[in-house]
Amino acid sequence: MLADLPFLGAGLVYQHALHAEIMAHRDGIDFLEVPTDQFLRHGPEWGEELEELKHAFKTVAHSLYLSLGDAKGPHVAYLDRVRPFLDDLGPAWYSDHFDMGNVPDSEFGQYFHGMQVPFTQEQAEIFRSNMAFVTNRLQRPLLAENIFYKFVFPMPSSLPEPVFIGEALKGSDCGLLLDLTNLDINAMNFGFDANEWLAAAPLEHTVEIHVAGGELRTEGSWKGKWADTHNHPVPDVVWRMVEHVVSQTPVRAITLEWDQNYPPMSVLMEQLSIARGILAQSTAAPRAPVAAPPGSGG
Amino acid sequence: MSMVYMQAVIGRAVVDSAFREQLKTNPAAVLDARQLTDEEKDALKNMNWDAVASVGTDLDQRVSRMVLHAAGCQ
Repeated sequence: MLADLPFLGAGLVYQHALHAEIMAHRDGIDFLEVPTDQFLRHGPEWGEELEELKHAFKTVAHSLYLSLGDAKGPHVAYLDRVRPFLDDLGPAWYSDHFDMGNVPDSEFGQYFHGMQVPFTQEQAEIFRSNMAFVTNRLQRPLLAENIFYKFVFPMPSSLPEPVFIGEALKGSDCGLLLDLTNLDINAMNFGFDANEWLAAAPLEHTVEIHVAGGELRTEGSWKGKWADTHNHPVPDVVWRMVEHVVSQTPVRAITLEWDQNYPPMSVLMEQLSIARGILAQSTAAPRAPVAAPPGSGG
Repeated sequence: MSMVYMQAVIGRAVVDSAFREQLKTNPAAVLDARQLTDEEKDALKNMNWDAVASVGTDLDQRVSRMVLHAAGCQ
């Protein structure tokens, strides 16, 4: 299933507040990543925008609350809400995260996302099982994304994160949504080498790359550390990592995440242009037809 | 299967400050009766609970941001 996924190019996470501008710049945006939860939340209220973007763009869908790492299994009720939305949207693929989100006996659970998991073999097997369940239920290609985290579990049996991700994807037909900004930020916050991480990662599973710009916190409990805030240009070091990954495996799409403090659209278009330039080197990118030499009869 | 119980502890710790305080001050009282491996108990006794607490704050902010976007604000 993964080998058949289409090449999409350089895309943007859809922002409802920018709808008119996104539609006006459709020629500079190869596809949209549709934040599924926002549309589920707003339903018919955003129906007109959904129809417009559906007809103007290729899409992928991205959600927050599948809880793929949950030891009790993924959120089936949530999955059954997502399914008709995906059937209507018709995305090239669907993605969520390498996280878990169930909070027992708490209404807060419905909003729970981005929770770190232990990088153990047992946890990797939970992901594998849950992703197989979701893929089977949706009959759609599924990707899972490495997350930005604020702590790690101090467990001697933990695997290195990239090895853990490889174990979670091993033998599956699920893909990796590789968030290189999350990797860069985690590397800075926890003092590891992002390039060594990439060398150990199952890059052959990479279908889509997320890029964004984060910021250094200057106050609060996270003071002095970086956060994945999606409100700055992509740092050069992240673009260099994108180049490396694209040189290693047939990446189909790069998605720019920018979801607060929006800059002028020209800034977003410049960022997409950089991504498009790098993606042109992907072995998944369509090649321009080569003209037949004169006299070849072609 | 003990991962179920470990995740339950972490999940509750994110949203329940009193529970988190118990884990910081007297982890044995919370953990010893639970079906956790020794490694999991040790990990939970040595967690950075301030970082776990800030995950809860992030969740609050994320939900607020979604509501603001719905209202057309930024």
